[in-house]
Amino acid sequence: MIAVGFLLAAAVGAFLRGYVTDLDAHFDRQMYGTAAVNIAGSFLLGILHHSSASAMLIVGVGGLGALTTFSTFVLQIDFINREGTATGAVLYVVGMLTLGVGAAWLGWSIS
Amino acid sequence: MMQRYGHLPAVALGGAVGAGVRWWVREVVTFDSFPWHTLLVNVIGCALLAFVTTRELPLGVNRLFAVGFCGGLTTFSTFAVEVVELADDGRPIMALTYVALSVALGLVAFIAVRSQFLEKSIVEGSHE
Repeated sequence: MIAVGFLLAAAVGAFLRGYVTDLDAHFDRQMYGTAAVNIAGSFLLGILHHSSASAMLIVGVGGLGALTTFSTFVLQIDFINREGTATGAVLYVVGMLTLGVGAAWLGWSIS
Repeated sequence: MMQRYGHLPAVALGGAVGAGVRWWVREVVTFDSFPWHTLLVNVIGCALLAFVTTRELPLGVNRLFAVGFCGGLTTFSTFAVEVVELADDGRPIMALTYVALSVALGLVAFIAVRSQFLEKSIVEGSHE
């Protein structure tokens, strides 16, 4: 049952990520959408951190894990570096890490 | 609108399979002191995504693998919470090392795979 819940939660998470990133299809490489799901997902996982093991596995590892993405984040760093500037890429990395880890910390702190 | 969101079921399917693999890696690679399992799936996911982006695939297939599978296999939220966990555990240097390793190895894997497979298509004269 946990496996079914896990896969369903992951499917929903990935679906939502695809939907949100498509909302900003006008922007290069969908950076705002990816930033939005990564920051929101990190915040929610921070909150969830103190919950039960099965909730953590299904909603946290499955749902929020699939809602967020590391591979597209890295693709975007490479894209900014090639199409824009190296400084822009560095700023993007520092900004995303600060907001993402900051959101996780905030969720962790208030739960 | 249908056309724009029509590939979302493929994204959901790829995401579930990718997340399933991530769960499996989590069960197999169990180091308590450092999140090797997340680092591993994130770096492999970057390499896979780089490969997919060099292929000329139908949009639906591209979305299935790139947005679905690679997005589901990799995770930003677990990464972010693990950084907080390491810092909260009194290991801030380890937390910074984890951040640096994740970004550096992910980028190296992405750029290496992308240049490797793009180069081949330049030789073939197919694109870029």
